[in-house]
Amino acid sequence: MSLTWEDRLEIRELVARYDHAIDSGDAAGWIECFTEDGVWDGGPRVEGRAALLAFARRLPTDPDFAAFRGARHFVTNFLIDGDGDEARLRCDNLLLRPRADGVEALAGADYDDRLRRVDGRWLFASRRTRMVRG
Amino acid sequence: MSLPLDDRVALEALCYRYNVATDERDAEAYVALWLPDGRWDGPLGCYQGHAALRRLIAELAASEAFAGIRHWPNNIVSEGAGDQATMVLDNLLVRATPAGPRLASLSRSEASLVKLDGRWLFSERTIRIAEPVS
Repeated sequence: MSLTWEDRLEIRELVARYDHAIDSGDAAGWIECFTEDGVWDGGPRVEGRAALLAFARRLPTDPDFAAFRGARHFVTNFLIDGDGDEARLRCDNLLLRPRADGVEALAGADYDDRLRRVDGRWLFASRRTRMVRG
Repeated sequence: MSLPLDDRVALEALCYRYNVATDERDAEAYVALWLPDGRWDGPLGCYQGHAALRRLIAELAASEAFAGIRHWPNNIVSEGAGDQATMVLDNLLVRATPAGPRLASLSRSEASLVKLDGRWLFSERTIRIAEPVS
């Protein structure tokens, strides 16, 4: 069965919840966006909610991600396909950071996501993200 | 809690009407989106009731700091049941300047809404500007 408009809206809202959580340092809220065996692949590959939680808690002080500290995710170009309880999403993110004199555009990133509906809720089974390079 | 699709689409449209009314300094269109005792709490202070909300738009119109501002919303999440809803979203404020558009600020808005006579209206909206990370 193809995806409904409700499915597509819920997937977009899942992305928004993910962005709100990671931008607020809400590690517990962030891992709730993933399935139990969910994967985040954005340089390091992190698998499973326990590992995701440890990663998210470490993120604010992780020197490998220092360049993105304080960043906010702005997302667009939602391409959603799927069937039944499985979906694929491709979207683009712009990473923005507040500064004393305005807002700095830090980077653009592509996301290639697999989603699964679990107990009636869409969750990320995997998120693969790569920075857009010139 | 999940609202019907029609309500979620209406809430998203309300968010866009709010931004356009604010950016065009259209006080009558702006207060029409609010309950009579609606309350705005943000960087300019707290404004409650239609008379105060009209004053907010007048103050924005007179402010050099807000000249040429446009709101770019993102990450919209609405929840609720029946005639009550909440909404969380991010906004990027882009300011037109003689040198071109400038990314001015980032904020997160949290709103409470009520459906009255078939129309969603703001009862409260709180705006927090994202502060630079030191």
